[in-house]
Amino acid sequence: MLYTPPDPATFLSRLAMYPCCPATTTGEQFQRALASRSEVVLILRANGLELAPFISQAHELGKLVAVHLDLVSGLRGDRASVQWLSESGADAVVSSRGHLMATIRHERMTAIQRLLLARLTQLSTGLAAIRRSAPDVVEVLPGVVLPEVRHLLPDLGLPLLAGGFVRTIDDVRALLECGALAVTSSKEELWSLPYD
Amino acid sequence: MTDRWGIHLPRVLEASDGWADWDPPKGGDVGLLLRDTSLTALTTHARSGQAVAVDIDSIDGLSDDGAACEFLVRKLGFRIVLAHHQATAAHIAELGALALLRVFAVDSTGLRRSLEGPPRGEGVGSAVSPGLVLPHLGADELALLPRPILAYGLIDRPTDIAACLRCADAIVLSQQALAGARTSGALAELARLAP
Repeated sequence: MLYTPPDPATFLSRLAMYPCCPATTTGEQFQRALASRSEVVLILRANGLELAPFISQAHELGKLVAVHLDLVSGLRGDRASVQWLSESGADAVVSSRGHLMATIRHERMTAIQRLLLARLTQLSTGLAAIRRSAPDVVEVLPGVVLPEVRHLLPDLGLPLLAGGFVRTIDDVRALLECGALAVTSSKEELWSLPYD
Repeated sequence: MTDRWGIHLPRVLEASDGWADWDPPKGGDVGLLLRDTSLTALTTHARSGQAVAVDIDSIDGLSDDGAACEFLVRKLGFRIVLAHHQATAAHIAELGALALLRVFAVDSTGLRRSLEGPPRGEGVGSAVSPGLVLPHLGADELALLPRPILAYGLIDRPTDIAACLRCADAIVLSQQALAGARTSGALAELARLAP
């Protein structure tokens, strides 16, 4: 039977239940993420051509899976690769490529666009790209500096994820307090905490 | 900071397109970073005798190949060059200038990935973007970055300036941020902070 991902609102509500989302870079870490209380697991590094059985395993355990299209190996980062991830069962796709957001949404997955904070003079370009591509979620990187630069970001009317160098409970709390819906981190001790 | 070739990397680089007249401010170790500009603007700063760095990848009309490196270093006399590609940085260093290889530090996975590859030769440091992330890096991550380290991007408030100068050899500031630091009188004191 063909798998249908949840709509973005459902995806986001489940993400927010345990708002430090596991960001996994190895198969072993992915398995530990499945054993955590988090509702959503993010795959950063893996073979993008061989993801289907792992995603299926996650679904059997009641988890949702987001895949980072730009970082997994074997996929080019074009529309066909988005369709491949859809057929593999992914619930959400993360990418810096704004032109893929419409394709991700068309495939009924949640579209997460990365906003890379590198220089102030490049910020307006990144924000304009997000306005054009209209993703479901924006992931701000490096997330750990979000509290320091939040005043520079206009209200995009989109939920924010924060990822990158998030290492402590205090980091997570600071990010949630400054408006992030959730945080992504590879630090396993942060994954299952409710952060109430 | 002065390396073994006598190239001085100022503690603060003011980002500029190079079109306006510029005099180094008194009471601070400040140089100029030419970026997002044109070849013509570069030529007006050639052999100025001031500490001027160039971001080779943001100059309209300029490639990052061997000819471009030789033009910048030998013809125009620039001695500090930021570059995205390792081959470009290596070429700059071979010409006797200080190369600062761009390192994008948006997450720990990406940081380690960007530092993979063959070891850098002497004369190639790091330009870390965004610079504001440097105070958040662990000691092990800072140790991975070849020095000198230039913190480049999103450094705005006086507290950010001080935090970045504690772990970097130099920082890039916008004209506005630098003016704020000057007004507060903090610039001279901040520029002396040891990394």
